[in-house]
Amino acid sequence: MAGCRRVRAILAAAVYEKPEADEQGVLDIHLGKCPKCREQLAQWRQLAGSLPAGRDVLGRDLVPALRARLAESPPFNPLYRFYQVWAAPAFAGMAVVVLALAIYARTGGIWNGEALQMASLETAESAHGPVQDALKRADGLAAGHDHAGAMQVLQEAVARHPGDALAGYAQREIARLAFDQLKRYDLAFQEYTKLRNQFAGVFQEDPGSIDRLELLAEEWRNRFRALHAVDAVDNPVSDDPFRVLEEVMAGNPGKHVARLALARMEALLMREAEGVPAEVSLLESIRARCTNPIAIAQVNLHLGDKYCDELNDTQRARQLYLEAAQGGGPELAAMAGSALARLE
Amino acid sequence: MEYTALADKELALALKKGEDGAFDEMVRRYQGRVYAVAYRLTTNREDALDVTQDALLKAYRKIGSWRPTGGFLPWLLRLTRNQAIDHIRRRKRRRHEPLDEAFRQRSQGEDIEPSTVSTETAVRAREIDERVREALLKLSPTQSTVFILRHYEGMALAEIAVALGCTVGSVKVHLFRALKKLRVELVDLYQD
Repeated sequence: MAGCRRVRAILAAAVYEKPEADEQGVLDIHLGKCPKCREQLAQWRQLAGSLPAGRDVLGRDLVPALRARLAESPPFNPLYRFYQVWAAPAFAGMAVVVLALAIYARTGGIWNGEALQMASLETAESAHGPVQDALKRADGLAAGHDHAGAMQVLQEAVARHPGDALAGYAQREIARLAFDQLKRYDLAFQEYTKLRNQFAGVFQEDPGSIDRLELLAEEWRNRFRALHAVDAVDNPVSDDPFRVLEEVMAGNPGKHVARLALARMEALLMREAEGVPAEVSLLESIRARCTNPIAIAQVNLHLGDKYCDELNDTQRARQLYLEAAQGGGPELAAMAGSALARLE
Repeated sequence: MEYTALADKELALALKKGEDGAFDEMVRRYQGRVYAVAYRLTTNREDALDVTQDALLKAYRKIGSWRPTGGFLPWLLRLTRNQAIDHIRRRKRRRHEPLDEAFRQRSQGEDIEPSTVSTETAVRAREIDERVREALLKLSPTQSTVFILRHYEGMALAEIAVALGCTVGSVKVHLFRALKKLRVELVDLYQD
């Protein structure tokens, strides 16, 4: 059912913890309409209940034992360690290269020794970290603002050494350069997708990558127009950046890009403000400047949550939720309705 | 230098620079969490202790490969998981296995407390632990870490987010993926 994807994270959290007020509202509405998610939540609760939740506590300080082990082991000399691990493969690799060259010379080149030579060189080269070298070169290029050059160096390294221990990190850096620096969202979408598919461990450990891929997946059908619109506000000749961001919020209620636009609005007003305003003041200022009813409704929802949760001002929160319910379209109205119900 | 006051990343950077005092603080700060993950993946206190020690020493020796762009704890727990997997493989290859935990403790001269739990219950508990262990190993490192910290360690999702250096939203997504897979792997444990 549409909307299952939006609530899946809230659903999982609800197995263990009471959701936040706005999330509870969204969850209640969805569970009221979706038997599949209701069943899933019930099964997860059964699963959690059937697994013993007790802890096994360590109960001791391991420092003395570990210090003793360190004292007993051979001195940790990085060069010694390098020799232990890489000497045999390096010597074997060199021997194969010499043999391959000899055979190549004798056979007049009919046997393709080049591939073996490359493989053997790679075996020796991996000891020096080709991807690590590429990452260092890319850092240098990026520091000189040659982000395209940095990306190319890393792409070549990942293509040649996909099995290198740092290849996943290089791939993540490629995706980040495409997104943050080059603003090539089509390319960023490809590279984050490649990161998820080919280097799942590196992808899964980085929440920024997960969030970005979700954002890009939402926006690719519209050719990332909303993202480009958000970027355009940084253009010094941009007429009215605030209005542009407001239009993005109005056109994309409840989506990742709307939250991005709101965050950029906050940043915009921070620059204009004297001193460091509180988030509530910023949101009030944004609300005052917005003219689009859907954008205002979204700001009202966020502001209502702030008044309720952080300032304990339920009267003001109720007022804001009521305004959001009236002006924001069906999806935002439903969220506002749930938020109001929570105040009762 | 007072290492206890350092934030996680600063402590890791001090370790990376080779500052000797940083090692003790690293062990004391993380040994509990590392042990929790190791125990859930080995289901055995002795093995969990071995894995914990091995993982902490490995982290010290391999700190050069940790990149400051990522959190230290996620890296350490991933290392722990790999150590646990290696340990389990080595355990399977051993020719002789102790009959049970009590036999191993007796042979080491430790006192064994009289059990107040029936044998059948203990066996069933062990079976469940073993099934969960196998299922956890099918999750990604982050998914299993989030699940272990939430379900077994009772940490709030917001605390897990701080520990892993990510957003609460991301923690929830990892938990969702973990529960989704565990539901399939362990269906017979909770269905009537």
